[in-house]
Amino acid sequence: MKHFISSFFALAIAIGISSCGINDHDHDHDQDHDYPTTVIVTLVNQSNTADTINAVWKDLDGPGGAAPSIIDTISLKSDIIYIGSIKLYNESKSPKTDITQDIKAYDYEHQFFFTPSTGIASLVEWTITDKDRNNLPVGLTFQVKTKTGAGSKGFVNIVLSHYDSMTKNGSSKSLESDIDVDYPVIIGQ
Amino acid sequence: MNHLNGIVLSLFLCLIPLQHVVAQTRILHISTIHIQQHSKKPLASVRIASGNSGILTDNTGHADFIISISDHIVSFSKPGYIGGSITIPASVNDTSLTFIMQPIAFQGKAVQVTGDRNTVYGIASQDVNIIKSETLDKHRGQTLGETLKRVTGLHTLQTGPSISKPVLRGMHSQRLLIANAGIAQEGQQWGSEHAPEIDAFSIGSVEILKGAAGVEYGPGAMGGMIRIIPPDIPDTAHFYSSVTLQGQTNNWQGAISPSLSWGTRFSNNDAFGLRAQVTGKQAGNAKTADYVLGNTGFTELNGQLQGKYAFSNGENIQFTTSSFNTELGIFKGSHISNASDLLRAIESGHPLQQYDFTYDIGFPKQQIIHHLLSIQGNIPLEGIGLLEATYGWQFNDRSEFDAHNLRVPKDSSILLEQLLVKPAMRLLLETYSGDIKLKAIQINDHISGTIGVSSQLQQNKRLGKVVLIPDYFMTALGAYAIGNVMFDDVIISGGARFDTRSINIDKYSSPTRLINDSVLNFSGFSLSGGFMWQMHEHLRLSMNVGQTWRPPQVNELYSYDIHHGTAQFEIGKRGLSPEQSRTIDLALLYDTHDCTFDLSLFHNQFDGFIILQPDRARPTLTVRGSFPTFRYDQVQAAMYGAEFQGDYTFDDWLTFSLQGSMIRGDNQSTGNPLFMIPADRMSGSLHAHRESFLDAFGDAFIEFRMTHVRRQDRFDPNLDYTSPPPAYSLFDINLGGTILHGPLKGIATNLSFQNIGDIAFRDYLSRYRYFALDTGFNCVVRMTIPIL
Repeated sequence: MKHFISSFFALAIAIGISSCGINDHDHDHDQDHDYPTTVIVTLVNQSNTADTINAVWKDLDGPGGAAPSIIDTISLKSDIIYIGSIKLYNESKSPKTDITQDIKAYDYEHQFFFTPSTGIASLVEWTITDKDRNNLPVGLTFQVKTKTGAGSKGFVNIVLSHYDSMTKNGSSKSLESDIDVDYPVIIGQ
Repeated sequence: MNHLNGIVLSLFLCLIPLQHVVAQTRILHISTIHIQQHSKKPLASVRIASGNSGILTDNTGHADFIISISDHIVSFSKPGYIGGSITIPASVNDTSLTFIMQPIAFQGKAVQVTGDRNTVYGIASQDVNIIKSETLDKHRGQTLGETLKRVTGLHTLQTGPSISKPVLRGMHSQRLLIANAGIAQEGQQWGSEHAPEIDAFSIGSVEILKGAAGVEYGPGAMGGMIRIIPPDIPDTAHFYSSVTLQGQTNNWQGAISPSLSWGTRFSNNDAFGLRAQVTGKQAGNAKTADYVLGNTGFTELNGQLQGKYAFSNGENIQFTTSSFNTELGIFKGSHISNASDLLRAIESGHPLQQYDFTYDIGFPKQQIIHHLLSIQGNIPLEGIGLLEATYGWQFNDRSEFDAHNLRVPKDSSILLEQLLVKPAMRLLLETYSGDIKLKAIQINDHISGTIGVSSQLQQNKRLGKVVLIPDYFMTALGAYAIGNVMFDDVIISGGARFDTRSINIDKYSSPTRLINDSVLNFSGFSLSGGFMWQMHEHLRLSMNVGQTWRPPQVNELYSYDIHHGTAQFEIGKRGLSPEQSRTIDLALLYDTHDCTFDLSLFHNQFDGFIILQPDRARPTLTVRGSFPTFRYDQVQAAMYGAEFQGDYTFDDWLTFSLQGSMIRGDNQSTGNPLFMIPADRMSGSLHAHRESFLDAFGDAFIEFRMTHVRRQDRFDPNLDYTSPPPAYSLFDINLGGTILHGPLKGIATNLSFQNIGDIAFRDYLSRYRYFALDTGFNCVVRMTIPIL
């Protein structure tokens, strides 16, 4: 019986030693999540191209951690047409990556939605001017037309919908928002 | 055999003298069988006695009993039965004997197998529910969670048709231990969408211990224990093979599971047996009453090999090795990015996209591999007890793939394709365990005990870009002692256990988080005790109390990310202390030939209950939108409730059953209800059984069942995006039998119709209830074909 006990434990130990340790070679402690950290909305006054707004939304440490470090206010003049574009970067690493290019390459899987809040919705008209290969709006370029405001304040919500689990139809948001940010907006200050 | 009484007890005694140990003793391997209307059941709590020593058979009807060569007379008795005794010649080597035990009262009936005592293994005053192989057969092909759902007090946490996780009395994951082949199942069980990695086809039987099981099984068994027992391995000359086929219409699932078992007995009376089983399963997209759930198909390929060598002196060694491999799709409509997306999905009330049936599995998906090896040795020690040693090794490899890998740049489509085949998160968990226990220590005629030590080493590694939990290395040690005092009508039990565990966390830093803990140590005591009193021939009362604890899990300590399924930003708390629970439960069992009634009441009081609490003042603002912030915290909490089950049999063939459960959970620190407590559930069934039906089917049955689930009206609106779904009722029909004649003789077949009426419903414990309905009508066909 003693023989049996010892052989059983010897077997157990042998198996334990032989199978010990998860292989380390594939261990990937990669930390560079390539989420966008920075959104830049550029608006150029159609009648005066020197009048350019660059509004930045920046959260360098990604989801969680510190609050976004920069959220610029978009200050618009009354009764103006602006030509606009939006760019996305990951600035958490060096060199920074331009995520805008990815969206452009897969524009038929993406669409921006610009939604002014109710307080300013009647004063600003946000129109997408670019189309994907299926003739559906994308939103990397757009036109913003303002009416007469008197320092009216509000927000514009910018959502980038990604269409992976549903088909893009040009009007419905998907359930997968790649970005969803709010910029404060002032019209006619 | 007395068919009129319908109750026959056969006592099967197998005598093998210890040859090269001590010539003065021998061991009786006793197994009892209770035969009633052609269905064989093991009979527990049969008292076997000789001279000054005695033992009770356990809930599988077995007992290992050591007597001296000079003792010739062994008596057997059980309340409610006429006892007897047998004379065993001193020279006997191997003998089998059969007895008939008559019930004392005319209508007397054996205590039902569900609700028998866990006599030999641990706290004997606690009831154990057993689901036998024959019952399991009727549900083969479903997930383990689905199979267990019929046990009163067991619910399932469902993430679509392929992921279902058992919930016992409101507790699951790190509070409920699942043991397979004698070792604790170690997957990434902290995740509510991580189902146990066990092949439902290769389960022999299941034992469910409700109430604190922490003394025997350690800190993971706070809320109870589900013990999966692999099928029996033959220990006589035997060869048997069969194939089980299963198909169902809802997701057009097909499964095949051939098995083979072989045994032999050598001339020196040693016995050797092997059993092998392979299961393949493929399922496509499931259907609700109104639409197809896109990307909910899955595949499974599992194998299991078992072996046992039994020495003629009573020693034996056995092993179980299994491999579980699955790939399963995650419903596309549930793949959301932020809280606004989730609210949009809830508002829409149905998936935004129409899907068609397909077997293809797309992204997002999970791939899980689980390997298990368990080796167990049993050595009877003369005059001391039975020594049992178990060695376990498990390897769990979980890969989770995103729908589109947002976190990688799409510089080129080739690069994207390459990156997509890499999981966004991959976790490797390897666990070694060693347990040694000395059980059936017979101190005197009335007192028996078990002592044991257990150890575990566990290593977790993370690959891929998502950091949900850190890498760690854990060592755990535990030691326990249990004593049972047994009289003819009362059992008094008590036990204590000490556990300590130490977790080495790998240092980790990123722009958002820094983990710099080197070692975490936790230790604590578990205590439990109670009594079981056979108050009357038909009435039994038991009461048990327990004090258990569990250390915080790594996800509770270190989470710091968006939980996509729930659109919450979850933040762990480094300073969590162990969670303590005090349990009391009371059970009353009334049992006669025609009628059984079982009522239990329980109350769990938690100290430092670890819970996710909303931090409404500080939502997490990210470029992907704003997320409600939830932080792990500790509160005072209580869970309490009642369960009942009643059966009444008319004329020995028609049984009416009613069962129900009610669970309440309170966060006593805020005064609000706890999140995701199962809704009240009640089910009734009418079951007709014939030994022979039209002389064509044996053991034929038909069953109508109705299940009603109330709306969960106790909820905290701050913890959820929408209020709980309404009440629902489902109707099922099951019928089956074994073909008695002709070329198909011996084939056991079974047909189920589930959710007749194709009711559209959502269950409160379904994690898809925000996005979609639960599954609709399903017709299941199962068939077990003996080959040899």
